[in-house]
Amino acid sequence: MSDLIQCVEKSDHGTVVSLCGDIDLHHSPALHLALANLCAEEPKRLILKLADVSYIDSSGIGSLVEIYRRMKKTNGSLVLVSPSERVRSVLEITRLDKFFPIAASEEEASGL
Amino acid sequence: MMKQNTMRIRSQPCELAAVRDCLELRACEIGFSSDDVSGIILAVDEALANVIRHGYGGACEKPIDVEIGCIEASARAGICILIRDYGKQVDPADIVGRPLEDVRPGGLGVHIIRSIMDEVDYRPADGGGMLLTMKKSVQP
Repeated sequence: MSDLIQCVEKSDHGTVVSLCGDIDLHHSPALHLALANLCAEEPKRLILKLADVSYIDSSGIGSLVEIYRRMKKTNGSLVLVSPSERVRSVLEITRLDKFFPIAASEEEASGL
Repeated sequence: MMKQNTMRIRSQPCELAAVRDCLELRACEIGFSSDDVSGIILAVDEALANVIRHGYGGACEKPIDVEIGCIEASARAGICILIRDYGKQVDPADIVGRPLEDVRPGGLGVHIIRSIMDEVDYRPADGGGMLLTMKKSVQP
């Protein structure tokens, strides 16, 4: 399990993962592996709560893109919830803020 | 250029956090906004990650020299960061980001660096490796 994962909750809406800390080159491989394992369970949605993520670099963004694709392959979806300012800024710089579904709350994410 | 921090790190991802911490202190001292501080940290982190992944091919005990300096020009203050590696040399013209429309993992680092910093200059270093110079001025 990645150090960045605070908790994982599974419900009818999908799998909700709360993340925290720095998603950087050091930590993103373990996070990617953990998220890929959750994808393998083929949930309807993978909902990532990002409010407590203090930093993300391109390796972390790359992991999110790859997980998004995995979810699509199984007709699932990946939704980002409440990204912190720093995360949102990186998503904007890389123009991925229009690519990923982003929700303000877990409830909203359940409808995307 | 005055005040300067010089550090040598190993080409290990776990060493990048120390550079980020140092950068945050210096960029705040110079007077950058919090958004710009975040951007500078990201740009330098991406540059170091590229050295680890591409310059050294993932080898984790190679040296990377980082210099963080304050530009104290008459008009606007700024920051200058030099990153020197001892890995393979490449033609600077080949260091380009990929089109963002092509959404896939990887290849975002150079785009991020160029988006954030005012000046970005890659050149082969004397004696091998590459020297990257990045500059950014405080916005008035």
